[in-house]
Amino acid sequence: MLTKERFTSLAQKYMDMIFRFAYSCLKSRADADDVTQNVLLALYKTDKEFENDQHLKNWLLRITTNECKKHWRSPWRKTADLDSLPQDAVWEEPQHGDLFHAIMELDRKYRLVILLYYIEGYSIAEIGQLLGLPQGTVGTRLRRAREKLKHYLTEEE
Amino acid sequence: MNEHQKIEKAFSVLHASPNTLEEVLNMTENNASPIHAFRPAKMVLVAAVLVLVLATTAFAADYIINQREIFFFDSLEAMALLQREHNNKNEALSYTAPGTAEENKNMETVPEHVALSMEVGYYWDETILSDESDNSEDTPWEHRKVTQWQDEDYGSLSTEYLAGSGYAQRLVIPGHIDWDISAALADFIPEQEGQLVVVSRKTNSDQIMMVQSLLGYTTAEGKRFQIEYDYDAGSRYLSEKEFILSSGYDYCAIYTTPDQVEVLIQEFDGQIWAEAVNVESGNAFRIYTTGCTVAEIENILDRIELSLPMNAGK
Repeated sequence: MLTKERFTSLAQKYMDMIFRFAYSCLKSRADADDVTQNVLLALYKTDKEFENDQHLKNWLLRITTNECKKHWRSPWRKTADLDSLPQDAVWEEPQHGDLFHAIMELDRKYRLVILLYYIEGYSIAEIGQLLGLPQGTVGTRLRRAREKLKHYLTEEE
Repeated sequence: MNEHQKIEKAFSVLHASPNTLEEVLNMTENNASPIHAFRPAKMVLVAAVLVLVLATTAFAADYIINQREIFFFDSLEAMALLQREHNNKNEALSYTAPGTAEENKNMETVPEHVALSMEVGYYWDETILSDESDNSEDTPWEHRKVTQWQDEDYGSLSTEYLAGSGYAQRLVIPGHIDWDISAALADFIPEQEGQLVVVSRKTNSDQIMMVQSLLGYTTAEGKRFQIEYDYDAGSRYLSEKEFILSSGYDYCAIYTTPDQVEVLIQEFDGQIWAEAVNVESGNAFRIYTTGCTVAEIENILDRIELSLPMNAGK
């Protein structure tokens, strides 16, 4: 088990990443917060030895994926969350908000690939390993997501 | 500004709640308190907590739950507000109050769930949803595919995906399920593309490590009915399982089947959720329905052989 100091340091470093992934998966701030708490608890209590930061990051995302699955496999589940956007979100430029909304309107499979590729900096091969998908599938999803977002990504600022 | 920068700006508003870390640290500190302590900050109106520990010597316990806790709440709000910690476990549990039938009218179907699972990589063989075979009318959606992969915990696994309307009537997974449910579900129509079985075995020994089966049905009157069976050799059910009895539900009781399996049945606003769990071996059986009555659920439970799956893995 981690020391409290080490845990606090790691939690501060990774909790936004966990939240972003959970939110992109579940589209609900409340659910994403719940998942973030559960994942951080798992981190606090794990005895797993991490070889490096990348190993830890991958492990956290796998745990986050599992926690998200548990949320939408709960007994009283719904097909969509109404709480789909952060209530207090303020972007520097309106077009950034438009892009965010457009990404959140994409199917989950496209949202997660966009997040992992652009925000978390994973390669297509690494995303394939994380999500258990062939590289070709990840590449196809990324290309299709880009096409769907083309209007927002190419728009002049 | 390039693509990366634009997307980074778009996501810049997503941050975990400021009190997340503080709450987690509180939970970890509370682990030093007595077992099953609640978090006072979030607990309101909990009427009573009853802990039952059943001896494993009772024959019923061979099949089901040898340790359980029953929580009573006087309202769904009280239940939803409670966040309970698990000592020595890597999780905290939050209880969510069920929505109304109106809110849940778009409850996902089995095919929708499978599609969702594939999106996040839980199932990754997308061909399972497409009908690639030269089917006869008798087998409109028959498919079988085996994929080999490397699991972080179990090593090399061979996963078999089975989909086909035949499983709606009879489903056999050696050591886990041997159900002929055609008679029990005579009035139900198998949901189109709603029968999926996923079995993962160790490549070198054929030992079953994971099972997930989903069987969906409908009726002409619009009733929906779903049977699930899950098994995971490394399941988290291993130490305990809590049952929640809430007076906020329309109906909530434990029903014992003829083969001595205890099933928790909950009803709220026309929706029923029935569940039995074997905490020792990691097996779970569930029924979810909209439109059926408790009596209908009990009738179906009486006709489905549960002792085999709930005793599997022992």
